[in-house]
Amino acid sequence: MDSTPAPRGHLANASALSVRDFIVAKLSSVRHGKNTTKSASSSFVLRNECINVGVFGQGESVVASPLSHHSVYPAMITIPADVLSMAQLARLRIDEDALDDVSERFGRTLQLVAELEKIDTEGVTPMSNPHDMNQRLRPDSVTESNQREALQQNAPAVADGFFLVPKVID
Amino acid sequence: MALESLTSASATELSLALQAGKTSALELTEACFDAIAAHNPTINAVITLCEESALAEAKAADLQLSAGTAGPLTGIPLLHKDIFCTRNVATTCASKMLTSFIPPYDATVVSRLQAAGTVMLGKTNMDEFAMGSSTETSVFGVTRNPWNLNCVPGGSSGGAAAAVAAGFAPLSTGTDTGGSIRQPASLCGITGLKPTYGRVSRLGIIAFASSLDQAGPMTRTVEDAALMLQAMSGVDAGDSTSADLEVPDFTAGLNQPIAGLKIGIPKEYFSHNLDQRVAEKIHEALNELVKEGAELVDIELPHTEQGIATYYIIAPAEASTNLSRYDGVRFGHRCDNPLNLTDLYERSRSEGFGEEVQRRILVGTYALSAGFYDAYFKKAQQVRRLISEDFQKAFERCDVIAGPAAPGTAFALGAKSDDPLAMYLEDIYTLSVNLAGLPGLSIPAGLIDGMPVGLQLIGRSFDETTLLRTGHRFQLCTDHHQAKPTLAGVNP
Repeated sequence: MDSTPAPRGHLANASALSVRDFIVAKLSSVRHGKNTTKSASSSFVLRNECINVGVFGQGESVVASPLSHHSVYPAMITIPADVLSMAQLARLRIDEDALDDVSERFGRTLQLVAELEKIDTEGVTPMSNPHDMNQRLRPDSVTESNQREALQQNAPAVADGFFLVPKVID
Repeated sequence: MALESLTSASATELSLALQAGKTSALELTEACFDAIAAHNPTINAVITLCEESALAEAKAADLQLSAGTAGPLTGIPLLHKDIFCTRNVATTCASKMLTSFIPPYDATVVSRLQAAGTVMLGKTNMDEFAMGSSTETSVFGVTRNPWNLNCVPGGSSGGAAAAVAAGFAPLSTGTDTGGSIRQPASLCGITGLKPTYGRVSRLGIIAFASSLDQAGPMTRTVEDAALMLQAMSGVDAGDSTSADLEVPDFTAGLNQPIAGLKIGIPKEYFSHNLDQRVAEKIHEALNELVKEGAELVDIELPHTEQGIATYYIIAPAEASTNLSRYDGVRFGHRCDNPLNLTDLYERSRSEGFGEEVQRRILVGTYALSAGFYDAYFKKAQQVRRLISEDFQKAFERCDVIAGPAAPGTAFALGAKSDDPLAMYLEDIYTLSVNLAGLPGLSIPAGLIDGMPVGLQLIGRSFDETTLLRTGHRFQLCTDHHQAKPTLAGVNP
């Protein structure tokens, strides 16, 4: 993907520029190999405060928020392309017809969660479990017997005790 | 026992009737099936029936009752949310992905309740993969609220809540990741308890968000919830996050007075998001508890609003990971004629998952993706700690926190299904409790225009006992929990 920088004079200040560059780099990496053809008009702007800082690539619009100096929140991403990248990572396929709707809702969800940007979490230890518990280890002994047949009864395609998948090696 | 009582009495009352020989487990089970046959075609709360096995279980329960070896739940009919794996009984999570899935094992909750002598009638409808607050995302169609058929029952355990309200069973199981027991309990006028994270084993519960999911009872009274929680709780070798703590006797202290109990009132739970008529009902309910000797204390939970954002990063992130197991290879939906492995994955998943599930997988994938991880997932985990600390600070000043379970009463079918963000707001008062891993109870607190309102009580970690005692006291001095829908307009 072409990631030619937009005219820098349009940006609010230098720190916003660095955020923008970061996102451009990010999009370049996640869309590697994808041919994105969405027009600028279908891009989804996440913030009312956003200002357009230029058009680059294959008709993709990039916008930057003057308020997003210190974050990587989605101040300037072309959402349909981003949705396609995420769908690829998540092994989901989105119909072309549904892409704008999916993108709009995806964007609104990201807008909702960008609320967290306002909260000062400097020095706060992330909490991954309500009780900060360490998972117990069980004794290293065999407890399960082989239940291949029972477990494979739910498999869509099996042969000779193996799960069948499409050919992966030519 | 009169037929009407069989489908409206509490499990505790039914248990006494069974022990006294006033009815039999078989008669009770048949009465429940009759109610389901009459009203389920309209309400659509139950999606799988297990008549043959249920009648056999009821007969076995009657033998235990006559032999004098019965426990308090022996012969009591029960429905399981279709998220609990049931051996040899379809378990779908209300998703096309799992419509053909027959688990080879029982969830620990299922086997424990079976060991307690309950009779499993079938499985209840839910939002697909428990993602929703209205039971409208089920592949089996919407469940209707028994109080008003044009309204949603809440969700995701909407089928379970509607079934208990409609007289299909005195007990049902639910799961609660962000409010999925308490919000439908509130909207259907029943009692619903989300236990402390770790109190109940998650083995065999189809995973949504592993650090938030918790199973709990959905019942007609707090007393029944205590009885059912007793049977469900306790450490399980099959779930390393189940708490290795002694399980208290939840029913023993139920009748103790609440004089001197300090109830914290968070001002953030009575903000602009709340229907003012609900606020009035909650204040009336709190006055009843004050009359019983409780003291109200003003507290703050300053990150309440940010709880939604925090939740809608953490839950989808965990879901995107958990749901990566559905690949069309080992179990679940598989597309026809895959061209190659990628095509198999992509088409199987896109055909098998509904819209809301796919949206959450996308958001979760985004939050966990390289470069965005710190800004989203790590940030949300940091705010999660702040939310947890808010509760800890609040509990220095009070024993229980009280507020609404949901911002309003049941809304019309379809009213929010096109607006995911409006739907997410339904859980504003419940999801912080999951983030902090605390127990939460929703109990009926009266009606507004004929629709139920739920009072939520939040407890300290692993202190379900105080919650249950407070809720039971409320039900001793009020009769809101005895209000029943007339089922007018439900075709027999």
